[in-house]
Amino acid sequence: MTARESDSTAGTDDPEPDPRGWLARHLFPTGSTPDPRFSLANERTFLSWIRTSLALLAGGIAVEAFAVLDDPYRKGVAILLLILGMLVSGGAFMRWIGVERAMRHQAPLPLPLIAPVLGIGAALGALVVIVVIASG
Amino acid sequence: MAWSRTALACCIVSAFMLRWLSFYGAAVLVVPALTLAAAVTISVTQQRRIRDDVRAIRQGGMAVEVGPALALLGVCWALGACGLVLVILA
Repeated sequence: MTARESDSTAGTDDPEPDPRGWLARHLFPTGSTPDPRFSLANERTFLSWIRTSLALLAGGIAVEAFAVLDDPYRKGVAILLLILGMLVSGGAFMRWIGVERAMRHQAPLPLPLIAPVLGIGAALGALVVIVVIASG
Repeated sequence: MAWSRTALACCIVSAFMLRWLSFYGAAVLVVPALTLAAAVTISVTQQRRIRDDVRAIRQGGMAVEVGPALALLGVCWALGACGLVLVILA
């Protein structure tokens, strides 16, 4: 199964109309359509990150209700989780675009930066909770 | 299935937001309603998406749709922004 020839119509006598939407044409102006299975896999990874983001947002909303932590720490952890959730969703979208562009140009995939950001943020939140609970 | 799981996650998060209903009243229902609408939209468009994906695999090429991804990002940011405001005000 081969990818389509270049979607760019420059230099052709009888250019075929680009079937993609306006957003897709502007975000991915150059390169050739990759194997659809890779694009679908990219989309599935994006959705996984979005679900992680939603889980963080739900956690931020829920933790604010816990009476285990005192007010400033509880609010702090809730705010941290909510901001982390928003960052993860933004990072997921940028990663989706970056990977799609890399596939269109047969270039190396971009570095995944969401994972270390998420790991550090989650560790920070957990550390705060542990310290607060341990200090009684 | 990935989209279905995402729709389910949207439903669960919108249920979490109901926690503030007793504090802030009905006005807080706007964002959970938006999230639920996103979940319903995902479910309703599921068959069309499957059909397009199968056709794309058979034909060896697909037109990537940016709109749904952008909409999901908007839902996450709306949830996050609303959550931040409600947590800070609480």
